[in-house]
Parts: sequence; structure tokens; C-alpha cells
Amino acid sequence: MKTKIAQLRKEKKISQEELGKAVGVTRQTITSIEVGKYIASLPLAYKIAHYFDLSIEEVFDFTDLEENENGKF
Amino acid sequence: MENFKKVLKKRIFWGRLYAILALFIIIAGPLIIAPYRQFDEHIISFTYGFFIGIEFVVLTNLIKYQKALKNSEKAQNLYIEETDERTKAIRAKAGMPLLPICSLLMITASMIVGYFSNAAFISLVIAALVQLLISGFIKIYYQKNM
Repeated sequence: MKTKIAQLRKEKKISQEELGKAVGVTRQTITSIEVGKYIASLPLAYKIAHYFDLSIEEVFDFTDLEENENGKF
Repeated sequence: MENFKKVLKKRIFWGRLYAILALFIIIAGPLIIAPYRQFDEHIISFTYGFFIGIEFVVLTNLIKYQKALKNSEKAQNLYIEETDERTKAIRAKAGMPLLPICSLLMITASMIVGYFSNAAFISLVIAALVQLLISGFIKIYYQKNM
């Protein structure tokens, strides 16, 4: 799943570690979410979006999920 | 964070208890088993080596927990490490903590059985080590791919 976390971090000038501490996860988890290897749980996605004062849909890209729902591969 | 510090204090208490017990076994062990020297040396050596190894792990963790109790930032980092959802998911996939507990029980059983049957001792130790290795490989795989 694609996210805008890396871009938002750069705009706010914070490191992965700082974001991780703020939302209660390790730096490695933030890295994995940014590269799309790990999909954050709903509570974590909410915390991350809330940290940037955005909605979950503005931070996480659900396009792939919507395409799968429409039967496209 | 206060609840986590209470958990750390409990762990330190049990860790100290184990460390003292293991130290007693390591030091007093030779005196206790001296009358029973007819047992195979390798069983006795394995038992000592196991207790010394676990003692080392327990002491390392005790030092880590003591440092975390004194320093709020270290306590927070430790808390995040332990409650991180990705780490928990990887541990679950690797069968932790159940697999290591099973391996520990198998090794304990092997130390008891070893005094009666060499074949059973070796079988249990190898089975426990294979379990731990498989769990370790699965953990490493998911750490890289998740």
C-alpha cells in the first residue's frame, strides 16, 4: 500500500525515529510502512494521520484496494 | 509508563531470583553430584553450560531493565520495542513465545532424561535446537520482507 508518509515527514522535517516515537512504533516499522512492505493497522494509521492533522485517506493510498474491489488486477 | 515500570520491577525481581538460584547450582552443583559421578560427563557438562548460558542472558536483561528504570527515555524506547505492532506480528509468525518455551521445556526434559538414556537426551536436544533454528529463520525472513 502506497503512503504519503515520507513526503509529509520531509515537509515537517522530522525523522522516521521521531515519527515512530510520536506514534508508538519503531523506526523500522515506519520504514516498512513507507516502502509498502507493511500495512499499518487501523489504530496505527489513525495515529499517523492524526499526527499530520490529516485524514487516513489523505495519508494512505487506497487506490489498489478500490481497483481490486472493482475486479481489476 | 508507570504500569510498564511496575512490569520491569517484577521482571527484575524474578530475574534476580533465577540468577541467585542458577549461581547456587553452578557453584554448589559439583559438591551435590560428587557422590553420583557414575553419570556421563557430557550430561553434567551440558547442564552446567545450559545454566551458565541462561544466567548470562538473565544478567544481560537485568542490566537492561535496571537502566530502563533509571532513565525515562530508555524505558520509553524499551516499551516501544516491546509493543511495536510489526515486531509483535513478526514474533507471532515465528511462533514466539510458545516455540522457545517448548524448546526450553524440551531441553529441561533432556537434562532429566539424560541421566537415564543417552539417546533420548541427544534426540530431545537436537529437536529443541531445530525448533529454535526454524523459528529464528522465520523471524529473520519476515524482518526483511515485512
